[in-house]
Amino acid sequence: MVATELKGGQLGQAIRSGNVAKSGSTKRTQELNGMLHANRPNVDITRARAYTKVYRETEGQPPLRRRYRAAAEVYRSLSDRVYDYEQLVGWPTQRIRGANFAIELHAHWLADDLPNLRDRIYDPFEISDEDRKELQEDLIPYWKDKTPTAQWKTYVTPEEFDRAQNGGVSDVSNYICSNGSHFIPRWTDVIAHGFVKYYEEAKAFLAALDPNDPQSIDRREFYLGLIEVCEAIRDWAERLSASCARKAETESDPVRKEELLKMASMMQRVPWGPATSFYDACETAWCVCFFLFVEGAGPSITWGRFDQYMYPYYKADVEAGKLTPEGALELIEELYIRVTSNVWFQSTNMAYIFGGYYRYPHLDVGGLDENGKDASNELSYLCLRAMRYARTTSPAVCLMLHQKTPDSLLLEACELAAEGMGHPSFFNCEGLYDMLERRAAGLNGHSHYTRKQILTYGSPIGCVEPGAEGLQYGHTDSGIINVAGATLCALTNGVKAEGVDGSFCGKLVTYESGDPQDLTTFEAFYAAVKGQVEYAIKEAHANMLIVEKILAEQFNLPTFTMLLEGAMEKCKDATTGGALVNVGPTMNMCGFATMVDSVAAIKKVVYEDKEATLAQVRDACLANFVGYEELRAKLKAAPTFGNDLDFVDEIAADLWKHFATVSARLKLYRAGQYCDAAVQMVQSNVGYGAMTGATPNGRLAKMPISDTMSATQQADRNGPTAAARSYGKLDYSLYTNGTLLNMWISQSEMMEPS
Amino acid sequence: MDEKKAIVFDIGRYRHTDGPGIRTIIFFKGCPLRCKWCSNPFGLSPKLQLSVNPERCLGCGRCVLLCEREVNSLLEAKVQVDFSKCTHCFACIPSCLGQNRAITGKAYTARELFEEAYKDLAFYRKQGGGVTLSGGEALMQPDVAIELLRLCRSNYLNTCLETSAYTSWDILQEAARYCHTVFVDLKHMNPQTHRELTGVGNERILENIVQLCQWAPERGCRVILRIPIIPGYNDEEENLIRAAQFIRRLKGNPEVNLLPYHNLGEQKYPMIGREYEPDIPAMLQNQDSVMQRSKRILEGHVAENRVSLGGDSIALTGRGTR
Repeated sequence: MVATELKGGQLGQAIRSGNVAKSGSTKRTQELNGMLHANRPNVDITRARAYTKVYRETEGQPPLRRRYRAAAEVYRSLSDRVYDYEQLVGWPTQRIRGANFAIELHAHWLADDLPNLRDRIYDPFEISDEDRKELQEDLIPYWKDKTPTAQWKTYVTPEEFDRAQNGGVSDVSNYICSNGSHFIPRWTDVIAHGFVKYYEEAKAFLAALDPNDPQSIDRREFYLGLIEVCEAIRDWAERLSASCARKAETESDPVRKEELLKMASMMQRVPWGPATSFYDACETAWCVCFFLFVEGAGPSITWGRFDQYMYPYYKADVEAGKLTPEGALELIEELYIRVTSNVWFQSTNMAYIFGGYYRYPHLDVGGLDENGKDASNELSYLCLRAMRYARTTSPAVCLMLHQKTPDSLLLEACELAAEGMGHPSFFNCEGLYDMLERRAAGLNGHSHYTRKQILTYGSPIGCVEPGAEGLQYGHTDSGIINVAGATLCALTNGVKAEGVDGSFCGKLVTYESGDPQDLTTFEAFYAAVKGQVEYAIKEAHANMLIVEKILAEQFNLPTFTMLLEGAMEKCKDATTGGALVNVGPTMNMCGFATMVDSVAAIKKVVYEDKEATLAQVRDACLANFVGYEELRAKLKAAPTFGNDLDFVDEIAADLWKHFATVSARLKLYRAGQYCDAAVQMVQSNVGYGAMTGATPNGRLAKMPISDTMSATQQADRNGPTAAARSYGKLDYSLYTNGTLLNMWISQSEMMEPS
Repeated sequence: MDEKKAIVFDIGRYRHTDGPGIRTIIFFKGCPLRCKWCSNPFGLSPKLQLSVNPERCLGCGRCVLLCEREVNSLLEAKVQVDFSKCTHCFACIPSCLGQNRAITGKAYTARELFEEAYKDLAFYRKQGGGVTLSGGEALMQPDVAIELLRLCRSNYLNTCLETSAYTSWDILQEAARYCHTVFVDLKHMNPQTHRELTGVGNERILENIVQLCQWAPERGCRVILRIPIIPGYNDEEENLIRAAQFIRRLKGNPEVNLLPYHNLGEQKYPMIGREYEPDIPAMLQNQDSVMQRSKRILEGHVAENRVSLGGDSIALTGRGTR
């Protein structure tokens, strides 16, 4: 079926059902899209083998040396296959749509769950019997006690270990399995110079070391390791070039033969050396992106301000008559199709919360330039247009919106939005720059970014985290605080409801904030809610500090490090503070509107109208409102967030601030900076909802809690403008790790462009 | 002194029909007409009214026990409401576990309505959005309606009025004074048929339209004539030709806006104890042949006037003297 005949949800269903979606502006991209979607997500154990081989050979050697050598070994093991129709070269996996997964982070759960991988409900993966056997008998046994999770387990009590993964209020399981994520590499630099620059620099730094300086021992390891990784990248490109040339020899179609020879010569130039054309630059953009997706285990390797750093190449080629806008469009579509091939490999537990394989690559257009002028150009339009043809889930295409955004670009973005695929996301530059100015800087501080750096390099990282090209590192998905669950704990004195998912049902899951009978004033109850939220944040933070330490000591990331500005001079790996701005662990709020509506309902029904006592509301929630239908109706009738009502919006603004200020007081493991708050997680409201009992806003047990920072489902009854005004009452600059709002507008509510 | 209040049954935010841009529509309660196809029966009675949605009844029976006048009864666990006995005391509303009962209508001063509308100021700017007074018939409560229009206009909001024009010229003129656009319906050209379909004759309406078109353009007020196309009621060729002939003679070449019939209001009828009369099989879309044919007929008989289809396709230009 040709996917362009379908729209919105229907299209999504068709693609997810495995029907081939041959969508694209040209025959080439249609075929590539078909090839992508004809494959189901599958497991690739090449990386696992490479790591295991190196680690076995280097037993007892320094951790950084082993990590860097293993990373180099991965490049040496990558596939050199070239497929029909493609213009760009290289794949992270032996099969399309594979996950070349990080066994050193996942082995502990795979040990138990490998047999279910093909058939689990969320995100099943194909795997061959031989690979499964090799994993089970050889690779997993080597790694299962060495993962960060397995090591963290030795630092905490069994109860703490279980609570932080299955309690459902203060959760860090996502954080632990995603080392190497959320990153905008220094694209401008790597495209302009290639890896040869980092290779030469490392050699120069190595040569300048003084062996009588005590620090030189570790530094030598660092530079030697980087040199080895660079060489492996160089060799990979040469292998791919040879592969293209071989394929050209046997190709009978003269046009395709010409293309293959062009690809072979391109791979002689990039990514090792400088890009000389838009085509070269696209190849560097593609392979650096997947290098990072293979080296790191997490999501959100981000293309950042793609339309800015690619434009000089585009402009020069178009002016020289070497490239047409249509040709550029085709290359961008191919990038989108290729990057969609990167599926996210997650534990069964996390797939339940983040299901959908989506790995959050991200591409931004628009925004301002370093002088504060509108920065949009032809590529901004082409990037938005390419998604209307390619219709892939990845990357998240994003418009950085500001007062000077031209109407035509906004309209192009709205045309894409009207397709109903969830593209593009809109980011408000003013908010983004405010967040970057205070990034990781604590309550009253200022980040290390200069205004010029923010304007030139600042952009969101997928999903929504503010970052800057080559200047920031940190895993920004993080502790997940289910504030709906925390609110319920304020009624139950810290006890989780019975009969919901996860562990600790009917047991103390947070702390005892007071018996509801003693909470005789709204202020007392409100303090208990705030106390529960604070407790959950601090528990997640304490757990993540331990993991940060483990990651910094043993899970270094050479390719990430090379692609950070200044990390080589500082001689510091990304995980140990190599970036200018080091962020994370951060704190994500989940279920915001459920918390707000619950507090407002209790304020109205219990403390103002005195229609019930707090203990009765607790009993009603724990009984899932069975026998309490009248009370539920009263609670549901209370004002809800998202309707432009100050009664509840003031509570929202205050709780919003509370979460951010508690987070911003907590120190990070690296570099003496501070924790950032965020509202960023899509989907997770379903999983955490299933772990949460009935809430005082009338929501039944196990139903989804509110999504991101949006109003509770069906509770914003006054239309999108009233909802927007409610959202406008919150202070976004406090959420230095970003905020995400989902608004759904039915097609009948859309206005025709006039 | 108590400020005058008007009964309003809905304030619709983020609407994009009945005027340019994003709009807030204020629905005034009470109407002098009784069009058989009325799409918003909550607007008919000028009084506060009980409305019940029996579709979502949980069958708890609490309203049955509560009401001494025996308005409510249960049949197969669904509530039956005998509105003829109801005194609209509204005591039953809080008792409903499914929250299916409501008071339709609420009293507002002009200032309160203005403040509601002013909240969305940021959203009006881009495409010249603003406030539309609708109903029911806004001019049945002229004091508040005119004061609201004055407040909006003097605060630089775009103002539209949707009216049946079944009112005195003085009131219509006073309201139009503050409007950027006035929408007037031409429901049927034959006075007798008009009386049968809407309960009132069309003489006063047509007179007002002629006078309004004389007076309005010079004041920066645009008039748009609307014809709701109701299959089997007013879509016969003769009626449309007569409408066109009438429109052709009007000053200022007002735009003609054809509205496709819809039955979205049908489920509101049982909620207030009314019956929906029209038996028209389907809602109309702009592209349906009935609409296209009607547009062709109109266009064939008016020379200068723009003919548009659908409430969201009126011309954005001619916004008046903003």
